[in-house]
Amino acid sequence: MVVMSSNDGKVPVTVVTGFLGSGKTTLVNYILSENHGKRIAVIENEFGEVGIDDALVIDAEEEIFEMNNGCICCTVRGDLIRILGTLMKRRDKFDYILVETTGLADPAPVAQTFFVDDEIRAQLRLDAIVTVVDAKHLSLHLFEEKEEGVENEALEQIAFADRILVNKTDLVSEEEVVVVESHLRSINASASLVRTHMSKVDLDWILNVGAFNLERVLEVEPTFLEDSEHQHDLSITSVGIEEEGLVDVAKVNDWLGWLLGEKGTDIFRMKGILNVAGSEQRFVFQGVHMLFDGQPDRTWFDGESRVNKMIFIGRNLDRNEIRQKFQQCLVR
Amino acid sequence: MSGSLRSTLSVTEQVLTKLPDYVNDIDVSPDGRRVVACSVSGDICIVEEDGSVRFLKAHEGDVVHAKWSRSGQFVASCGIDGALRIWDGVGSLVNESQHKGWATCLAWRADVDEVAAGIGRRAVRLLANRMNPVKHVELKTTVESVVWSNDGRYLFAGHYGGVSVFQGAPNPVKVFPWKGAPLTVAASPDGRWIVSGNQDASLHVWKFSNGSELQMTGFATKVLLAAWRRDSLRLANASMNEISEWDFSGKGPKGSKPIGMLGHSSRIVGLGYAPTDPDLLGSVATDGSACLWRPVKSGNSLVHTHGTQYVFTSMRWSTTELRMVCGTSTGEVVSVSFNEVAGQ
Repeated sequence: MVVMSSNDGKVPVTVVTGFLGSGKTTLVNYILSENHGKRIAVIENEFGEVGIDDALVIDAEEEIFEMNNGCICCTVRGDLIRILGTLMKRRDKFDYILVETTGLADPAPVAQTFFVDDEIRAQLRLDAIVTVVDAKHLSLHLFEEKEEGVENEALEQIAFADRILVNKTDLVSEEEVVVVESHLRSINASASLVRTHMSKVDLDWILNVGAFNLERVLEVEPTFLEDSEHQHDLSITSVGIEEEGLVDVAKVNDWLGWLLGEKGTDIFRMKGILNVAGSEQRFVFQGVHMLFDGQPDRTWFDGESRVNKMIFIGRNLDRNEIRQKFQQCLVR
Repeated sequence: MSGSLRSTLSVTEQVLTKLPDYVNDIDVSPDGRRVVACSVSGDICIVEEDGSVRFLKAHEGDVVHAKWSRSGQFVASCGIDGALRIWDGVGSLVNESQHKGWATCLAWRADVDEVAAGIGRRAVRLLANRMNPVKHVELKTTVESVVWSNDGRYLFAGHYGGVSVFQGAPNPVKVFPWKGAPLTVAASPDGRWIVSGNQDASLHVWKFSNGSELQMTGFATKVLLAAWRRDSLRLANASMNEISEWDFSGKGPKGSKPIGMLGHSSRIVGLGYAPTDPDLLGSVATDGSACLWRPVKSGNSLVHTHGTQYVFTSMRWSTTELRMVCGTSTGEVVSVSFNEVAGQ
């Protein structure tokens, strides 16, 4: 298990993912063309149809390295390490980095690069993973039959997202958009959604949002749909826990250690706020696969409801088992 | 130099010249008279013994490395523009080769004026003599490090998955596999050992003759620097702000503990044994410190530390005196000389 940390004073990095043709490059071009006052460097894996002027654009060739660090699912992007290292030598020339992945990219190695490589961790901060989805074709990708062992990238890109642009809404009916949004929420209950046309979105909604900052964990109230009428046969889902009571810090540590050891490969993202027995402070945590970071946060406010809130997004998660094991961590 | 060095040193610091931006690499000519440095600005500078400086616009974008040939007649440079270039001592282009991808590493062969570079997924070989064709081999992943054996027979290329050994033909004659990403490769001068510093915070060692391997783990960060002592009996490596020295005498370092050296407060960016006194090890770090070490198993290995105002990025020893030349993040080429104080 590797501890992640987030510090201010680092250059923020937004990762833009999305399936082929969803509108990623349109979003990147839109960001660059808006008057936001930021000097942005862009790292892309594929050049879009629209040229990007007056911006530092670097072409990257995806290269995934497995790490021998005890995390069986820990992979990093070797190409990103090299490019980001080179960019940081001239950091006075830009103050924001966008990484646009290919439509088929697995977001995990991209995210893990920011926590595993020490030079990058020292200088850069992963701000958020923004996923663009094509409202018209999403269902096609989500329910696409894959061979055993082959990942469904569209599902994973949604599972990893902090912000999701439901794009091309002009091409579908209101009813269809509602269905798409319900699919998205059942996969990832903690990401914020916005409907867009031509990837046009309020930039404050996707840039410098601090989605990986522990202090802002669960700033977005998760919407747990598992009890609603929208049930989908998707292997990737969100499991939410919202439970009052004090948790035993030793037991919860053991439980999270067990969970990551057993299920780390299947858990893409997790976030939580805990009400720890004997502490007046909230305990906040988050993780990407087996990379885990947790620390005491602010003091609970007077009158604030001290509720434990957690969300786990992953593949084949056993909702009942996760809940039962958590309940065993409560002080009786 | 004697064992009483600790108390009899003074340090002289001098800025030799300034490049427009961050210095990526620096090198001293084999005769010790000239320095070459390269910058992210695309420039190279050659500093002569009399202090005069020649600037070259060598590449589009970062010049990643610039190094003197062992003959001292040529400088090779490579950049993120995918070019590998050979220049003569006065800055005229002698030969060049263009490839797709960024250059990552560069090494001159000892016995011939031939340079190898890692550019994208290629290990490229280029001779100073234009009449010879450019050679290259394709690997499956980016070539992170190239190094020649001391006799020039073998070219070692470090890449994700291990170290491949080439000898003329496009296919490797040997592969030392490692499920990880080597970032730097160092071959012992006597040809017995191959070492890689890795992304996964480890040092991997292979015996060249039979491929038997050792692994040193537990470093704080990835291992970017490794340097052999001239007699091949010691290897030093740096991880973050810590240096380790390993004893390769006898059957090698298996089961032994290294000598640990802590003197810098931030990332070490330059490491090497002094050519004029191979018992002495030098290092520089991004905190602006330059340290001189005489590694000892017990007691303090630090001989001298010198603080500067710079963020160092690279270092090479002079071949003829106890003097480091260092690159900085703001483009300075700085000389740090360790001088014995007479009469003490």
